[in-house]
Amino acid sequence: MTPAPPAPNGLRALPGAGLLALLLVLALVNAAAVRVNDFRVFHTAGQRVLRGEALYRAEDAAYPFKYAPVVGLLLAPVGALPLRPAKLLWEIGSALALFAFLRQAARLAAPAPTRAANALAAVLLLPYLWHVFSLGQIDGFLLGAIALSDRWADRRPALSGLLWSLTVLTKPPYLVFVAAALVARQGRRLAALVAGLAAGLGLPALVWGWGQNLEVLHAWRAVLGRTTPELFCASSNQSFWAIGCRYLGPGLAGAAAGAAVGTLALAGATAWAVRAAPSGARDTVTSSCLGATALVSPLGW
Amino acid sequence: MALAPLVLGLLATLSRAEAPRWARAVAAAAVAALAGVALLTAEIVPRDTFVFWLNLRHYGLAALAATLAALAVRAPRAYSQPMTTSSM
Repeated sequence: MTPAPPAPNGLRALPGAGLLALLLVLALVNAAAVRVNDFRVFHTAGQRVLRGEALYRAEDAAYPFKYAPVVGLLLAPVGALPLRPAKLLWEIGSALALFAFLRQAARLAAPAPTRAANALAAVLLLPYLWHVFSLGQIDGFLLGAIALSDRWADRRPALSGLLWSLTVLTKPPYLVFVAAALVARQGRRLAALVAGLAAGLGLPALVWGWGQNLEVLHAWRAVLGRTTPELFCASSNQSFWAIGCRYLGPGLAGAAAGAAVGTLALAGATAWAVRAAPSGARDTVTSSCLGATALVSPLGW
Repeated sequence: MALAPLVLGLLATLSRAEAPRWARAVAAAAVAALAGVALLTAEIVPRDTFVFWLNLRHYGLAALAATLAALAVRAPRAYSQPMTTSSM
């Protein structure tokens, strides 16, 4: 890690070239690997868009494309490349996005992290970083996007809201950041979010036509409706919903109770921390929302 | 990974001599839990053991505990120094 420019309190260090090098090494090692599980979903989606084929298909079984249709359109450049070069670019892009996210994480942290804390955090996160790269997941891009959205919330609210809308169209649990935007009174950012969501849902009609766009949106909703409930209690799911299934009772009732109890606990703890330290309210709520994204999501993502 | 800001706060609390003793104890326990979970994630234990812990929802519970701990230690630090360098 290289030290960042001195912070007002003289202690805060941001991750630097050392972390970027680590992320790029992880990206390149995994770009060369044969394993492509999750990445194949994104590559296939891009190919289907280019061929004019249906995005959402029952035969995709364990690896369905679950994201908004516009995300499929944005993946067209990925699908235009052969699998290996596409995966290489995907991994490098993911490394850069994760680097942006981890720098923003250091800005949000309190107390201010030192170089040693940044290095230790990288060690603790290493298994998860490896997981993202080895599967070719999209989460690095989403974390980078929400980090940049947060960073630009005041200076570039329109761009900030549009970036945020892309994360929501990919994974709806990113809507929890509405809490952070309300606390910080980011009206223009929220307006840009709404505009981005409307554009993301409507603009694909320019490609597919209004009728077919509606059909594709219905197909997206059907995929989510079909695949989400069966995963509420899956062992791989680690959200509040799944914790509820394990400890509060089986099925939807236990899952919903877990989600309610967990969300209330998180909201209560966040409110307490904000009340105890009002000067850091905005960063506290943003940090809490980041943690909540996975925990409140029915699927644990 | 989304917990990174909170995890950094926990680690920073551990390294601050001026942090209250209770805050450092809470941070140490949370970091130990996260380290244990990270070791399980690294697949250094037998598959059956990993699945046993997975069924107990060890990731989710550790994440919740770390989040609550990080929020608890975040507040007292804010009284004496700036919370952020961000220009957001």
